[in-house]
Amino acid sequence: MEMFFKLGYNSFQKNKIINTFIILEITLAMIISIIMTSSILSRFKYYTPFKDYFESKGVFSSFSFATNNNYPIISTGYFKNSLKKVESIAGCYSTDLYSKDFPFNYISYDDEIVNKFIPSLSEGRWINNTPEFCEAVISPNNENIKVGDTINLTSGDNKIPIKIVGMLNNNAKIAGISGFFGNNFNDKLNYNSFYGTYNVEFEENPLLIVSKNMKNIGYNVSYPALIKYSDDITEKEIEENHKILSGIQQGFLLGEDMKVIKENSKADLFREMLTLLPIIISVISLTIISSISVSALSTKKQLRNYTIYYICGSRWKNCVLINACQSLITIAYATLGTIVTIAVIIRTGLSEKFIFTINPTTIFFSSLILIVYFLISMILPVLIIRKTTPVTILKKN
Amino acid sequence: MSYIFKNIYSFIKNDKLIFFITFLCVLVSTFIINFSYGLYKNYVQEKSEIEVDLTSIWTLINQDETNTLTKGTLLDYLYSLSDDTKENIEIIYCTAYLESKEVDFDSYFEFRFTVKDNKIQKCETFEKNIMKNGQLKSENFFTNENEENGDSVALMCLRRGGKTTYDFKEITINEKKYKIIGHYNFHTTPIIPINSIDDNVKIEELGFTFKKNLNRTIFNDLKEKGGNLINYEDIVFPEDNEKNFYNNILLISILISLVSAINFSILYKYIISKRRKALSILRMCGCTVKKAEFMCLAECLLITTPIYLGSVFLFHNIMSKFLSKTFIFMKEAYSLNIYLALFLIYMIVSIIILSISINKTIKSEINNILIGGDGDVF
Repeated sequence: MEMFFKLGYNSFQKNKIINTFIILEITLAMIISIIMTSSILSRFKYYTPFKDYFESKGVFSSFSFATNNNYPIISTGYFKNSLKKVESIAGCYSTDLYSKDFPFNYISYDDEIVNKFIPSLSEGRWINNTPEFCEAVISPNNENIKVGDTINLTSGDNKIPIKIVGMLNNNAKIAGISGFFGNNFNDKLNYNSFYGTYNVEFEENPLLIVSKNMKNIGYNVSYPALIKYSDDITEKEIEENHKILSGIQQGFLLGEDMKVIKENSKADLFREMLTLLPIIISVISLTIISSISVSALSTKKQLRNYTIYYICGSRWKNCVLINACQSLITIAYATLGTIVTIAVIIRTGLSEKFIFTINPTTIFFSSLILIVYFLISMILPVLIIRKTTPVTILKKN
Repeated sequence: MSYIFKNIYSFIKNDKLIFFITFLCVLVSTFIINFSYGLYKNYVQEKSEIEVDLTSIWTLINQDETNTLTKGTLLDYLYSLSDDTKENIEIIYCTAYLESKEVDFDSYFEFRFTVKDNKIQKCETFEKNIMKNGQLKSENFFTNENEENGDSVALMCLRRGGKTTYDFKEITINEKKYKIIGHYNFHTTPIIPINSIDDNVKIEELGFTFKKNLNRTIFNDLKEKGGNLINYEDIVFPEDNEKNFYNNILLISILISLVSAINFSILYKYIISKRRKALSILRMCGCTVKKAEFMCLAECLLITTPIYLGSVFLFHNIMSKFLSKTFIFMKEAYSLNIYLALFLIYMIVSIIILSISINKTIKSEINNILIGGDGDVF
């Protein structure tokens, strides 16, 4: 095996110029693959966190201020108890927090949302729902409230100090705000209807996303809520649940079956994917064309050497192995090139101007380029060599 | 020239696979170049469509035969708005179809005014703007009294075609004589005071311009008071990082073109290397390096040009029709001139890259052969 690598390396060294081109080409193809996969994943980033809700039996509800018999519903636990076969709920809350200094808009989330979806932050970190100290993430604001500041609010007679732990990006997409502000409800409801963008200039007041589960703060179910039923729920039970939800006073805005949400979401995501389809086809076709052409040329160039190896006692199979070793060396250099390029992209901050994500999925798809290249570089020599004889090659060269 | 065609013929005949790959390479490059351009134009158009302008807003008038927005209901709506909203409205713009035989603009009239203390007032901002821009051809504009009392006065516009103004002194609108007090050359629709028309005249369009950026309070006030008749599209702010998605698509397109270019270079290097012996003989027989370069370059262009043109034909007739379903502004981006410009860019870039590549390759290949080497440049 060492000999094959040595011969492969020799052949790699002899063809420096063309191999540099090939390495550059594979590196570019891998970077393209990472960018493309990141783009595709970005279209799913609002669907994936609550995928289990959208793809289960359930209901998408929205409340402006949920009350039952004129009492506010202070917990989504109410729905768990009154509705049949509820498995989990991702609900949003308004609070009774008040500030005499600054007018804020407030929202709090169930653990299901806090743990599953982190909005785009320009600074700091996301809130924790079980803190010692009440935490909040704030939208960009004109009040000069920064990350690290503590603001003093009141809830009834209680004074509540709240620590700002993060700041949202301008126009960041936030779970839950569309229901209250009515941003998306004119359209067909889909996964996007659960989110809204918060523009402080338009909304006038900064938004405070406050951690839930604090004893001294009053919470009330408001905004949209995703309710997931058990798989064994019957149509009749779903209907009964819908009747109970419709009975919620002052603010049950709508309830849409999750089946509809799922269908609309899939249609929306499909439209998004169509945008990328020409690019995807181009990348795939170009990767295959490049790999085929590069392997074909490389083999054709090496045929004379392989014939000499053949005359010296080597078999065609061994020549293919030498070719494979050369391809592996090329792949190693291309991988190194890709790592360096990624480091440069991240270090120079270019990754912030594009959607450039490094995670197992993007790495897997960029590795596919290498696998395709390697497989073609293994198969093509066999096809080319199989059709010719050493005598023909020597005569031609 | 005959050598060039012979070379092309032998290339197609002897290196079918390489020729096919070259063909695919040019085809993909052509598609990508044309697609990238269309995508860029689509993005620019889409970006301007999704940008939220918070200083002006158009209404959606939900009128049918039974429920129409008339001048009377419009004024009631405007008077019902909160003081803060009224204070912030800088221009109220609306249009209506009125009968007038003296003009050639389909009897389409516009109104620009403001509301102050529940009284219709002239639109000072519009007056200042057209005066500042030299668009008010006479010094006269409506007075506050004209607007409030609904005097029969009109500010005439340019004739259709936009070159001359109407020069008569009176105009009949809905069987009512209006005195022409001035001319402006900003639009081709005359302006008259809103109060000069009957309360039952149907309003076709309505829009507002604000002194400062629209906010949630004003928006909700406008929306709530409008009921079902005067509606507004919800303001959804485009997500901040959405532009990054388009940056990604553009970057991918550029990188794909780059990969195609590299691929083509690799392929052509191979073609030249196969011709090294023939080229050496030609050189020995008196062919200069420049002539040899020209031969290779001409051959290259003769191969790529028909493939490029064929690909453009396919792109225009099949691909762009399919793509325009997803990228709605893409089709408008293409014209014969654009295709020609893109072709020229492609050709110029190809000629530069190929000239450099051919020059270096020919010299090294021929030298290798002439000094007795094996001619292997790869």
